[in-house]
Amino acid sequence: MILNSSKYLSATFITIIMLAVGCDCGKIVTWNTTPYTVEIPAFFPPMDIPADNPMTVEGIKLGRLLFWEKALSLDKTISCGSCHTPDASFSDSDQFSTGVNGTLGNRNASAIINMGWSTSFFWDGRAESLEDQARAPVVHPLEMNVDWGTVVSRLQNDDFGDELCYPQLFFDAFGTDDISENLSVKAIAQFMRTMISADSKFDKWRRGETQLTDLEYMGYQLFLKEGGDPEETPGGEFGADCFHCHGEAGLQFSDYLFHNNGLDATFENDPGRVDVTGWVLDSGKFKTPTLRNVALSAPFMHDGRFNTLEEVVEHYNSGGVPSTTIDTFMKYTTGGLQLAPQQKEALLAFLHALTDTTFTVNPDFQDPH
Amino acid sequence: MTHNFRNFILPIAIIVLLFSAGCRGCGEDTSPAVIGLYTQITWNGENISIGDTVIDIEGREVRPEKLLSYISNISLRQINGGWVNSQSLALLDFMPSSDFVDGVFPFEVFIENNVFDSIRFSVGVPSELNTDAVPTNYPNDHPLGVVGSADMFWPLMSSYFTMRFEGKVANTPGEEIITPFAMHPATNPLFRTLAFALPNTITLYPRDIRSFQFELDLAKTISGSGGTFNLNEIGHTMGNAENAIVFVDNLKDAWTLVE
Repeated sequence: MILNSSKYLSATFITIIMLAVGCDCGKIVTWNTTPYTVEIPAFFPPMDIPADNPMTVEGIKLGRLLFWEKALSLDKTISCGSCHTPDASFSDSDQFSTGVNGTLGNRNASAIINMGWSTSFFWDGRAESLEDQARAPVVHPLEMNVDWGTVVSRLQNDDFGDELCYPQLFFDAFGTDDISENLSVKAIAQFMRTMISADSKFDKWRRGETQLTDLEYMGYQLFLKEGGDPEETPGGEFGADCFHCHGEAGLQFSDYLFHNNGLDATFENDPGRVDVTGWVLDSGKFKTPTLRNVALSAPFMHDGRFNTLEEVVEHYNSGGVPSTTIDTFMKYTTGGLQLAPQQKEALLAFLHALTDTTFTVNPDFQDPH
Repeated sequence: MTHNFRNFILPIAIIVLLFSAGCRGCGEDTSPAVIGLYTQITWNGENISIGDTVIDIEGREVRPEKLLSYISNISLRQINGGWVNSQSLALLDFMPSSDFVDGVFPFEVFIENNVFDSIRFSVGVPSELNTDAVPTNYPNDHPLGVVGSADMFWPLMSSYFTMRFEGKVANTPGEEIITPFAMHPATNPLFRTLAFALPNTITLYPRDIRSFQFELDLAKTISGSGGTFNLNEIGHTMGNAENAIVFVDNLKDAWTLVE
């Protein structure tokens, strides 16, 4: 009874407060959220949801609107979705993304795919949560280049039309129409956690719903095997040696760690992970990207230097460029992987089997504006 | 009268409850103690960090770049000869630039037989957890989970590496440190158990925290009583079982109890 009275009083109090602050674009109602449970696909690990940002239908709806909201950029010309486009598996098909005022970035935009399982974000892993990740592009001078205070003010006060009232949407999601940077990034992170791809041909094969072709299966076996000629590379199995970094456990095809895959002999252009850790052996290392939808997310590498998957396979086949921090699994001292043409073809066939277009056309992820 | 009856029934109820719950003794604290395993890495007895440059027996520069090790079944031997196994498992990660790590293991002890004279642990994942292993069966941050075991799961064999020791070595003294080596002993036959006599017996009580200090001499993993191998001819031990066996057999020389 006391509890009920307390709830009643709280709701009344909130209603009075809301009316008093004079929200001018909607009717205030009592706050009720709908919990959202992430459906974990077969063979995937559990997804860790931050305790301070539980997922709700309302939060995800708001996050999707913010993800596609151009008011999050200085000149209101770009949104997150401008550089993370659905047809490129939510990456950018340009080598470097174009920010406000035509400024070019210096790294290729990562594909946003199954980010709810990732343990760090950006090529150098400088963000440790999706919430922190969502914070950065807004203020980055080469990207959206606007301070969060301005964004919050816009969302709080600007007229976005009859159908879009951000104070109401924040109230629906978080129980307050007092918009903030923290609530904004929480909503975006909630939305991004729903962006799950688990319906590639490979996934269907793992679930027993279809068959891989002989070529695709051969490529999968190459993916799992040690690289190199055992005569030249002790332990070699004539494989493609992908699995060490693009780990198959949990079907995310990334170990979420940082490697130097032999792109350059020196790292002046982009030191990579060392800028975050300060550890010299992290020089030239970048986060392992997922291979999911890799056939859709060209160009490749942190700097988008390769335009095709064929170039990527050729790079690994060559063994890469030696340097102080090159990964020990690059075959740079033994003549590369030495894959035969049919093996390369098989590896490419397998990589294409990781394509999931149901993900890229999923209406729940498209621009709602 | 009622009051007296309550006074009588309460102790009876407690006694009955204790018996039914199988209490080993009134007032006995069954809270675990904690065993800490402090491991310092060395090279020929000198403390080093991952990323340092050291010299091998051929006089060549060697740079260890990665070192991880599963430690499991840390156990203490009672002076009556019985081993008490903590049944716990941890992944020791010496990177980045770490020269030591602490493994922490909850350890159940009882008032009886709580004097110990030896310690042992296994390097690797016990076979019951390392056969047809599925990392997704564990929470993400569990040492055997997808994230917690990153770098240590071998999908082709559905098992975990015992250890992971990688780096680069110069081909000849004074040359560039360029040739990679990667020792990845894995699968059940390369699981090893190491035992050490304690210099003095210890008595452990519930809630005690006891740390043991070890040294892991990486030079001795390459050359020891199990054999010697040439670092710049290693490549990758995974399919090179002979060197992998030498490596794990050398662990009994490489790992020493300091105190």
